[in-house]
Amino acid sequence: MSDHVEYDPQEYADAIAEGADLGRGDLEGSPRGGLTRGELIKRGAVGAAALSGAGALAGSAAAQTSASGKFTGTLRVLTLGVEFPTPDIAKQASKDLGFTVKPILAPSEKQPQIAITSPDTFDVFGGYNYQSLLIWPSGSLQPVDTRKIASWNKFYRLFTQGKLNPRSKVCTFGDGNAPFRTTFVDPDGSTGLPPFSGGPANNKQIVRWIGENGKPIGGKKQPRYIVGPAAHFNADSMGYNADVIQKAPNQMSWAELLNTRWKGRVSLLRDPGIMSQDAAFAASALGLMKFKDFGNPTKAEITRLYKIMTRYKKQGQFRAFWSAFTDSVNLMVSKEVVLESMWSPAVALVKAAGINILYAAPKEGFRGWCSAEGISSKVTDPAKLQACYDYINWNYNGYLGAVIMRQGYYIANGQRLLPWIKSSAGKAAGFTPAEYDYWWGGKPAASDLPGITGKVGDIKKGERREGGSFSQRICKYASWNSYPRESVFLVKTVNDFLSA
Amino acid sequence: MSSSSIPEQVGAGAVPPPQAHRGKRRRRDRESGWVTAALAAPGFLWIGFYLIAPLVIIVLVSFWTWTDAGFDKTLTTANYRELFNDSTYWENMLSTVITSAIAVVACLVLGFPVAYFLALKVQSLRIQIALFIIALAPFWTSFLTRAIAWTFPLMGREGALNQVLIKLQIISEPLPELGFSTLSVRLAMIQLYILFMITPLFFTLAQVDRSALESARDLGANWWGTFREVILPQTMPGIVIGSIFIFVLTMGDYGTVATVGGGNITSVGTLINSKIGAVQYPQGAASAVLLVIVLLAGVWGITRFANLREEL
Repeated sequence: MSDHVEYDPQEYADAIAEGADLGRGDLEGSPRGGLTRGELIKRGAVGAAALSGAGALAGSAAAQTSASGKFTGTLRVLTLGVEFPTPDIAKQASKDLGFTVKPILAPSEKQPQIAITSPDTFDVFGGYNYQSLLIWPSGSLQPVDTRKIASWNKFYRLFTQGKLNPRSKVCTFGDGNAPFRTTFVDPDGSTGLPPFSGGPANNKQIVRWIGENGKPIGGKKQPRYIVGPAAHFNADSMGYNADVIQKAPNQMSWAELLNTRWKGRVSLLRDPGIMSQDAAFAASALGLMKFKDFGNPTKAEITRLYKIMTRYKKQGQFRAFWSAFTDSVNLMVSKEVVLESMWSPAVALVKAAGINILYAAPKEGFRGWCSAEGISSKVTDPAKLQACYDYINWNYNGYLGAVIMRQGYYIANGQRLLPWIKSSAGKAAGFTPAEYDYWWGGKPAASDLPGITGKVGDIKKGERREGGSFSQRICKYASWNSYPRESVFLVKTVNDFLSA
Repeated sequence: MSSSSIPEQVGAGAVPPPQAHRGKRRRRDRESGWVTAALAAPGFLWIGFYLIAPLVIIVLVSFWTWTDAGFDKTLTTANYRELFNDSTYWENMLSTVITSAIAVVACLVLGFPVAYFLALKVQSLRIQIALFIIALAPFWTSFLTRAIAWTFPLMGREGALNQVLIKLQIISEPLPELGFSTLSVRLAMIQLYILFMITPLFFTLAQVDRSALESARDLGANWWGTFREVILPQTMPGIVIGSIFIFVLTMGDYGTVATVGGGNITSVGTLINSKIGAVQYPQGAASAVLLVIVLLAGVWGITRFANLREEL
């Protein structure tokens, strides 16, 4: 396994979380020497934070400010590994912003728990957009003012209107918690816009602006406040071993997950919501059943789907159900599986390990996701609040977009990325337009390129990104990661399925 | 040493001390009572804060009402009603108890000879310690690393076990069933936890009075007789403590099951984890409370084999 895996923050978060749950300290290393607290993602600090429910290192609630009123303390960012794929990001942010940015890493299922139960342990919430449906009613987050997000008007319209080009007839919104359905908030009921109805019944404040017809509901203006702006996003699908499954990425269908030719060599992600969507795509592609809304299945649909899935499971279709990002890499590298639901950086790592893996561009469309940068409701000090906005705005200045590009992720204000890469800052950071052409342009690599491990040659000359250019890949969403109304029933049914 | 001292030695604390002796001790206890209390206080506080208080909170949460935003504090028995009607939960409870029972028995059967050899066959203390450290060595690696070793490296399609079986011509095709299975989870549990059995066994076996062994031999007992009459009774506390360790650790384990089983295998622990992961705290807490009750019953059952308080 490559060096990258050694410091993959998601892996640490997962490993530490597992260790914490086992009540074991042996995953908690000692901080690396020579670095000040909070300067880098330190294994020890992250471990301790995770072990103590991210609370112990929270520090004093009072904000530290300089004489001029500028924040000088430590800004705590509750985050997925996605946001800080390398320790360099926190370092760069701290350097650029003039205060310490300290990531608190937690796996995706721990994030809502921390956000709901202890909003005083973080300042910025860097989670997935669908998590806010769960978190918002608890009052742990405060509305984010779009007027303070400098690039807000430069964001892709995917986030506000549902498509890159809202007039496109070819592209699809995708079902479920697509960001244009779940971004805007209306805490005081002043907009007159309807709440998003495809999630938990207690949602009153997350409102729709653009309707399913692509037009503003009631002809209203765009609301000013949001849950938090998206930063990272992508279109997910399945990774497959192309030596065994000899198909081009765009010939693939989600139905392959249930193709008995790959019996015993298929893996799904154990997350109940994501697994259900992938399974639903497969079952519907095979014509076994229909779904009204992939992102919000009814009890009857859930029951039916898992009846089908249990039949396949009992026949030995599935090799494993992975949970940590690195599990999915190991399963593919060890050739235990030939097809699995996967994330783009995992595919990149497997590729870097020399396996002939491809990332499908299924004809039914991708499963989308995006991050949402929220702010804790416990941040009240004006200087600290400003620091939160400064940090969020920093996400869009180019550096982060370039780093996550090598993971296969896109940044919400992508038009700015190429100019930044060409700028002196981009050059100094070691990025090239050729990389942009590969990841965003869908063009053949002009030469061997550095990929996810940072090593030149991760991407070989002439290779092309599966699914094509940014606008091609982002055009066809089947659904978005979602928090469905029947989540309790779903979790229970998934447990029954996994135990069957 | 005269043979008349054997019963006293063997019986150790099991024989109640004479009344007079007891009375004197009680007086002395009263005088030093505050010292004892002071010495015990940090321990009590520690246990109170880190064990009793969380447990009380878990019981409390298990009666709260789930909502989309986590929970509210309206008391309800619905979480328990649901659990009692949840066949998946009880099937998992049964399979978890079976897994734990297998782990306890296997660790005892495999661990006893190791501890016996270390404690009674190795004469030099230095070698004893050296061998004990060697037995510890695998545990210096991360728990997760050892658990992952039981997935594809050992039990996978191209894993070590399949390759050995093919080389030995026992099988011609790799057996995919070995990996990510109940079998691999149960094997891994034994390897991951056996030290918790060997250690207490080693310490109780090391305390066995060598002269009692000699005397037993002198009196004509064969190996089996000595083992049954002299060694086993004195080792019982170690067996009980080791069994409690293994039972408690394996019943609550979810990391090994999740990692080694690759998500195919579930346990009460993984069920609780998935509920907590979905922010269903009341349901998760109720599942945990029932697990604690089964655990306590199991521990109580194990302690029937020896009176720890008197024998230690």
